[in-house]
Amino acid sequence: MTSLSLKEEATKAQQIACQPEISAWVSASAGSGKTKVLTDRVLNLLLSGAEAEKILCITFTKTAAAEMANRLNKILREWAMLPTSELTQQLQKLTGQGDISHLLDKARSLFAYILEVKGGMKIMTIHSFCQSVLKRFPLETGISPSFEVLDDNKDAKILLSTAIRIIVTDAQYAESLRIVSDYKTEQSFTELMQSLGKERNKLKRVLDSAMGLKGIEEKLYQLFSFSPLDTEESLIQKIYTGDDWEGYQSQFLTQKKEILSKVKKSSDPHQLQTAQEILETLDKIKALKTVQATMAFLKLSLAVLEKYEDLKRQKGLLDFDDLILYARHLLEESNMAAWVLYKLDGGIDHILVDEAQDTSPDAWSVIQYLCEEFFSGQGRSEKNRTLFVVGDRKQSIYRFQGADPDAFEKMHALFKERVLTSKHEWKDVPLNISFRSTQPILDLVNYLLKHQHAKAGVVLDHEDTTHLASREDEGGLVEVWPVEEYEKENKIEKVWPLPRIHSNEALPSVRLARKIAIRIKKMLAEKELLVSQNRPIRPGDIMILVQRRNQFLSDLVRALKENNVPVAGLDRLILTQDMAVMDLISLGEFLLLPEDDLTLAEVLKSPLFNLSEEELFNLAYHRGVQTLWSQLHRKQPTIYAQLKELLALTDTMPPFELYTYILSVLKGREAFLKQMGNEAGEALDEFLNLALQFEKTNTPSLQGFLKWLKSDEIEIKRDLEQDTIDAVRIMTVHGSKGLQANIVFLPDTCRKPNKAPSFVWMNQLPLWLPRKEIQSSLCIPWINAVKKQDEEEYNRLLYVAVTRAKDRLYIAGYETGRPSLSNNWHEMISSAIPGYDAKTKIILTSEQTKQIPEKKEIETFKEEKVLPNWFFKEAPEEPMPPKPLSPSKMKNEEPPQASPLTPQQEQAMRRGTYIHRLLQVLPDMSPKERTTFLKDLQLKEFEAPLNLLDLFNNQNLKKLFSSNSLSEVPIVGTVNGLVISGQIDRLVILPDEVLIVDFKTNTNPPKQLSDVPPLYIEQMNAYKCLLKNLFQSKKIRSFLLWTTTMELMELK
Amino acid sequence: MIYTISSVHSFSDLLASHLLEKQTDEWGLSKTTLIVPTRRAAKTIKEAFLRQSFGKVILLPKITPISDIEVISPDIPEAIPPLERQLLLMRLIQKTGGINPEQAFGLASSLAELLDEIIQFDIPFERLDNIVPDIFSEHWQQTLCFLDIIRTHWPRILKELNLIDPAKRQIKILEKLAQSWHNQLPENPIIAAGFTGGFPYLENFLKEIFSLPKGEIFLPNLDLESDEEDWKALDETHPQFHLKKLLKEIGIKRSDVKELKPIMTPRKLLIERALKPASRTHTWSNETPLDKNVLDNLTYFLCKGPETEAMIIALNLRKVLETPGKTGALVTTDRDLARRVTAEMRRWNIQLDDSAGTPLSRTNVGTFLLLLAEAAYTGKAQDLLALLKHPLTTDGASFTEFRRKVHFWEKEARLSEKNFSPPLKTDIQSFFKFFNNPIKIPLPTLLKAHLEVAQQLATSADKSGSDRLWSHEDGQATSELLTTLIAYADKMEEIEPAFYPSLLKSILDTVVVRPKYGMHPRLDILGPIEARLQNPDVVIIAGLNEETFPELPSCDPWLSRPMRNALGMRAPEEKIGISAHDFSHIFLAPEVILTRSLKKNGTPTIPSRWLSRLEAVLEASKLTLPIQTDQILEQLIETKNFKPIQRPQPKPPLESRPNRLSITQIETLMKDPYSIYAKQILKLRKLSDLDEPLSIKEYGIAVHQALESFLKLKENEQSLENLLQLGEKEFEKAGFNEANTAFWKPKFERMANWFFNQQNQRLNRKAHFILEAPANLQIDVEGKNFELYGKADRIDIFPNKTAEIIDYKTGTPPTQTDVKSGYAPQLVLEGILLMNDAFGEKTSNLQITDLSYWRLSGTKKGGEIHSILPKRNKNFSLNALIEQSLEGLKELIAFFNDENNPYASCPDPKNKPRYNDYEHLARVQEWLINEEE
Repeated sequence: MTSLSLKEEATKAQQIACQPEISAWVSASAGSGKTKVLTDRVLNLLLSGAEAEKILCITFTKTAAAEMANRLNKILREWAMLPTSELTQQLQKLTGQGDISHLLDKARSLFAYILEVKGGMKIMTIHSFCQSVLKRFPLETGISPSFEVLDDNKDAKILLSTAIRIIVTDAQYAESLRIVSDYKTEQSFTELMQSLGKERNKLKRVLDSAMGLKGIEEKLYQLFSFSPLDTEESLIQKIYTGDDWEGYQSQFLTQKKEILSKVKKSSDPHQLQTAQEILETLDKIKALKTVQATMAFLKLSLAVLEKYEDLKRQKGLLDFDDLILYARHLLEESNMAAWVLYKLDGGIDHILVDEAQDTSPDAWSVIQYLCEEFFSGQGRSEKNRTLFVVGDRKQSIYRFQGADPDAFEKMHALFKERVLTSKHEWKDVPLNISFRSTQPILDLVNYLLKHQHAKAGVVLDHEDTTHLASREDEGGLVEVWPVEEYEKENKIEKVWPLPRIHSNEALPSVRLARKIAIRIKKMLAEKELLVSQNRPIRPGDIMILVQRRNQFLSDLVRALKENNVPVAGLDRLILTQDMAVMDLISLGEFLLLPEDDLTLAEVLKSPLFNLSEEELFNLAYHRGVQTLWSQLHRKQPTIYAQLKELLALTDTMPPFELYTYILSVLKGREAFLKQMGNEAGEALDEFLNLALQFEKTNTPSLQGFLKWLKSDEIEIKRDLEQDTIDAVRIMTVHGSKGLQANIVFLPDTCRKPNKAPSFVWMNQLPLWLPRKEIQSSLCIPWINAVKKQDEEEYNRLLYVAVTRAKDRLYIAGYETGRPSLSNNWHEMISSAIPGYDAKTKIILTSEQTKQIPEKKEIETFKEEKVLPNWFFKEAPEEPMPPKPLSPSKMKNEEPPQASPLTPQQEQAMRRGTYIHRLLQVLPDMSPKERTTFLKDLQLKEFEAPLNLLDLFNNQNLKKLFSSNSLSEVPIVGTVNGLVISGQIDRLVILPDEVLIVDFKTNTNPPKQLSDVPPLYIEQMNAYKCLLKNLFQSKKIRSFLLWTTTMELMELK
Repeated sequence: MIYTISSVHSFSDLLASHLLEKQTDEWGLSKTTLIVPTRRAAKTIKEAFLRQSFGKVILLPKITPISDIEVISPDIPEAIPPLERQLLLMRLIQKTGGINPEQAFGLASSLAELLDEIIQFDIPFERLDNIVPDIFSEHWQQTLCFLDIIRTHWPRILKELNLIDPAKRQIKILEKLAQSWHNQLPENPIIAAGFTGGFPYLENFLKEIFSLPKGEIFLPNLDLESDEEDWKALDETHPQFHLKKLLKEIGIKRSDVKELKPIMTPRKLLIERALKPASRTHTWSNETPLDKNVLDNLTYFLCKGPETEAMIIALNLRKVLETPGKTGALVTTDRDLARRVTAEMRRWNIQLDDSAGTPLSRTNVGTFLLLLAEAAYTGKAQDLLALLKHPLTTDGASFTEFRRKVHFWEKEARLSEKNFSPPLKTDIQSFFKFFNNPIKIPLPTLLKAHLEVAQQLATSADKSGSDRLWSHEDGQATSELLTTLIAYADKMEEIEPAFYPSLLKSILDTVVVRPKYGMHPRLDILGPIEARLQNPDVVIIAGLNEETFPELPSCDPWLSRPMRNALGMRAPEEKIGISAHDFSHIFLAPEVILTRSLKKNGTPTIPSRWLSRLEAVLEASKLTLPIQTDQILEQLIETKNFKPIQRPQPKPPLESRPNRLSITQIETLMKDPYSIYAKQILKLRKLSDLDEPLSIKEYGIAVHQALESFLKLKENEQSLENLLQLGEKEFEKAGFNEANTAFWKPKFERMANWFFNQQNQRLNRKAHFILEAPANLQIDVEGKNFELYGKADRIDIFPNKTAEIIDYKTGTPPTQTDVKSGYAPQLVLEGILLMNDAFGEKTSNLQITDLSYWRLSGTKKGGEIHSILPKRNKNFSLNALIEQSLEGLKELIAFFNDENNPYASCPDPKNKPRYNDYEHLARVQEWLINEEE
């Protein structure tokens, strides 16, 4: 097949999937243009007249949602500007229609139309969608309308711990706790409860079903054929009645509970039979213990979960899983889906689901309820509504979050049936042509898909999923390196070895890290060509994928840094374990308690102050009972001064400002990067982000911030998919979902998870297996079933890993201390490739035959490249008065307010404001008006009116309220270098004098002039000066009117 | 007359200079009334007058924010104060059940908002009944039931109080005022400036002003040029939407509006084209290309994240100051970004203030009050410390003296691992007691108790607590707020103290204090609305991402868009239109810098719609926004060659090196000599953390103590019951709370059972026990004396003069290999001590037959004995092992007696200690290449 027809075929398949009037289920292999199909589908829907606000597109991550939105935006922007001929071409290709002239104007205005869609385009994760639904339907859901989402793991943990504390101190759970405490400590029990995640709902559902706890217990007894009266003793007594059961066993069995060889060989068949009886009894005892442990655990954990729910409800919080669960419950109610759709601003007409293989069963339910409406409910007849699902069973790798590849198939069948019975159109579209990878990589994929072990769980038995390369004429490479092995150690066991320095450089993992780093360095240094693009390889082309985050990652980062290869850091970061962050925490702790010697020493040795070991010795040694801090003053005066300044700032700055000050102004950031490399900067950024985040829910204080930080590991997830930084990316395969890279290294291939599950479901019954010794042989098949699922997921993970690569793929492996398990990735890969074994280097290649068009140099805007000189200088001083003018601050402070605890304070306050208001209005009235007006107002509360009338009737004060007066006159101007902007409460301009009055509502007015707060005098003097300028020939007099007593005081 | 002022000018400055020309007599402008939209606008315009008068003294017009217009009239009842209203609504909400006080308080604010809107748009409540199709009426009823709070209960309450809603009062006042104008035409000019309309009552009021002979209206940035087609097609999200509506209501044509100082700039052309209504954008590609000069003085910074965006902004603000007299402003809706910028500006010693202000909960007084409430609620030592280290806490002493005391108390507690209970003069305990009581309390009681303690705690040597707390802008505002709260608090339901801190925080959040004076005469941080009326020389429009600018309308739990439409309320999108108007205004400043981040909170962002539109129209003219990246910062924050550090290997002089070490220290010396160096030579001690959760370590101590006490009992008292009792006592002593005990007690019981049996077996063998015996031994190492000392948990001595050394372990005991290799030397060292009679007379001349760990973890059978004797090797000699180990020990001592040998940190990574107090000091993580986990 030529590549042209391959592409044609692919385009045709994509076009079918994009038809806006049909529902479709797309199984898209890795790199087959899934994203494009999704985008094209939305474009087609929009062109066909679907309302944008009624399209719901569910993505797996927020990142994917943002990218999708940005991609649409970009295409539509192009459309808005393209000349007609080009736009016509594009639209034809997209729609598969010939005449599209009627679509041109529409296509052009879609760009702005989408931007202004009411409520925005609904491209979001299922969690965000459910959250938005719940926000709209709080009453219907029965949750607080102002609920908040606990997306911070930390807060969820705190709540869970509280729940545990309440339950374990409740006497009714003492017996359960006695059993559970044999297997779990408080801490490990808490961890177990946290990790229960996906089982949580399942457990609750079993309980809610008719069975209840009692029912489960009965079924469990049935399952192992016990009577509820059985105890360990009663089981033993069935075969042995003496009192040395251990001794009895040892006559027949070894320590490891195997039948003694002498028993096996014994001529007495009875011997062997007894031995077997003992073994059976021992196995029964195990089973009994399992049942007991399970019941105890269920009782305890369900009580804890219930308490946890209670607490969340009390606080109006929902955790991440709740969002989907509650939405599901909401939609389950009869007629509710229709109401939801109606009230969601008129509904949803089209649903698109991306990464469907990793959709959890509860999420599927939500989608299902919405679709139910489409194909049967209210909206069925009038409108075309569609469902569109894209997924790939092969890439289902989120079982630990509840995803299930079988559910993917089940949903497929279910929806297909629903759609077809409702007489809507349905298409199944497989996409197996890869636009991403070169031939060698796809060869490897195809080998793996046929490999007896590697294909298990990836493809179904009958399926042919051979991947075809659209890039078959481009150069590619797969290299499989032999596993890095342990060197034969000369294992002479030294007694009491002296503490001389050993190095671990001989470890296979360290050696491999070095090898990779050197290989990459070579690529970059020798400007190796990326042939498909005819340009030298850049660091950003390279991605290193591992199964898990472990020490090997740190080794890799270190090795790359040592070879000066730019690294983008890791996709996850445990912040409190980062050295720079630890230093900042220590600095904070020092600021909170300068007498903490060890912490101060840590701070001094940090890059911030960089004290050498010798300097520290000189500071600390022989200081007797003195603190280290007391020594600093004399021996390190510069550092002392800096720390002293920080100590003072700690009282005035919240944590964020304080740390920014340390990192920016005191150049802390520079110091850290110099010692730790550039990617330390990310941890510092995240640290500051946390300081901001802390204050969103907590009262700012350094002590509180540090306590909060240290209360739990804080893991930061970072997206490395954007090519903003030209550096090597290192991440887990899970993290690489949906990403790709020109060159992929896969070094962590020998590990294979082989953890026995501690929780299994037998015939819908939960079974807790906290320790291996209590695993009865009966449980083994179920445990194995879980293990098999694990292996299948392991295989799918390999598929995902391998298919991330576009041009080149390097596979390596290293031995760990533990024996490697069979059918690990490395073994499967080397045995899948015909004719190769694990010991030799394997190379698959393809030639570049395709011509590469010359790249046009894109003109870039000239940027400033060098920091200007002034950057390093303090800001110039501002002139006085400032230019442009702005009001100056008064010298004096307002006097303190009265305490809220002062009796009648509130009334006094209100009275003050009210009188102030009256004084604005009353002067403009005639005396008669005034009297009736005040009478009409019912102001008994304040006893003010009388007093006020007195004020107006007072002969001395009359002129204050004459017709020559005005209230509330703003005044501005400059005097003596001071810029004043004020407001005069009452201004009276008389022929020979000008009077100004300020109303003061202080509850305790001063009796004499000398007690007047200085600020008031300062203010009035300033006004006086200003007015003097304006009315040079007149005398200016100023007064304060104390509204509490209605006394007028002239300021002289 | 209606004027418009183009955004190319500063609205307030042009208005001011225009009015200044009209000054006539000595009264200056003071007889003119200028009505403006907000207090902030009043301030801005006042300052513009100041600028335009160039310092000359002038009397200004009476500048009144529309909300401050007062008419006192018996037929206009007083408005209910907002806080009181919120508290009353909160109470009604709480009555519906299941909502906690803090959330009810928040919800009350959202209901109040809805209420205001219903009032402002004059919507009859009955209309609510009929906006949903019948089939859904059941569901709708649920919402209606809840909305009964505002449509049934609320009016009744108001009536009882003889008060009205503030929005209602405002409408009545404006009507009254207009009415008074009808009665008697005002002689003096009345001017409305800066309004864009938006509410029917406001539009009416402006119409009234327009009809006055001396009435004038100044509109901001009305577009007079765009073609009629575009003007007709305007929708809610368009910047001119409100103005168009306003003109229609007033009944005046666009062409009748006069532009003050008309001006057209290329950039104005650009923005007007970019913001065209969506339905008219299909013509973009056909329009005459824009000239390159539309890009003059325009820059766009595309930054990696908010961190670099803040730095870029800071850099550009700093640049402004290089030109004397030039002004600059950052305009953003993103308060975090503003904070970041403010913090960065400290680099140049520039104090900037975010004019959005600070909610009381984050001010000095607010944090003090909240920390006090939180400490009372949690009762945790760290929370108490946070309070005690607040600058307002002085407890009757001077600030420095009190701080010294706090440090002293803290260090003492952390050295002794005791509970932190500082001897304060203030009686905080009785306040704390409230919180340990889950009984509901009336809020005033709580609040008063809280403030009493707060004032006492804030008392300093020379000032009363009241004076210290209620001073400054924040203290005054807090005092006012809390005074009101105390007065209204009896209108609230009683609350559980547990909810008090968060409720108080929400209440404090309702008030924001703003700095009275700008911190910098030339630089400002403004919100888009604040920026409306001014026009600094350089404007940085930051955070140009969707959801930030424009902010998107939030989900409305009560009404959907179609429902709002049916009711006659405005579409949520109108807010976007207002933002668009703000944007198109600030975009016309003389010099404009746009910034945005590619990521926020780790997720890629979507560029602001206006940016996208700008890019699109530029693209059509073959132009692009002049994009700069944040790369310039790399010089500042990146380093080309970093210098990793090496493993520390201090070689202190001989005289500083210890010549006596304990058994456990020998183990440390084997695994991590640096720890010995830091602890024994530098004397740096790890302080324990306060409030640490109790764990295996504390369990271990409790077990050791209990067993020791038990074995010291008389033989006839050594019953299982007594052992269990001792255990309980020890748990209590160790500070285990109920929950900790709940987990550890069953373990202890299993352990005790097992131990008791073992003990009986030993008693049957007539053993006697030496417990916690101290020992020390002088060892000669190459002529130098070294002292080894330590204690053995127990030594069992049997009648045949044989002895067994036992160590209790609650965790995992070391392996036999570790014991032999010296990495777990404890038992063999005790063996050396015993062999050399270091435990005293009672233990001399004994034959050691076993060294064993008793694993007392309390799991499975409760315990297990791990002997270090190999199971199979018949030739094994314990004595030989002990002798060998003594040699090993001597070599080790000799090694450190050589000044050339360093106290290296973790010399063999495979054998580094599991817990290490000095790992940070040695910076292990930075240089260590680790073993596979």
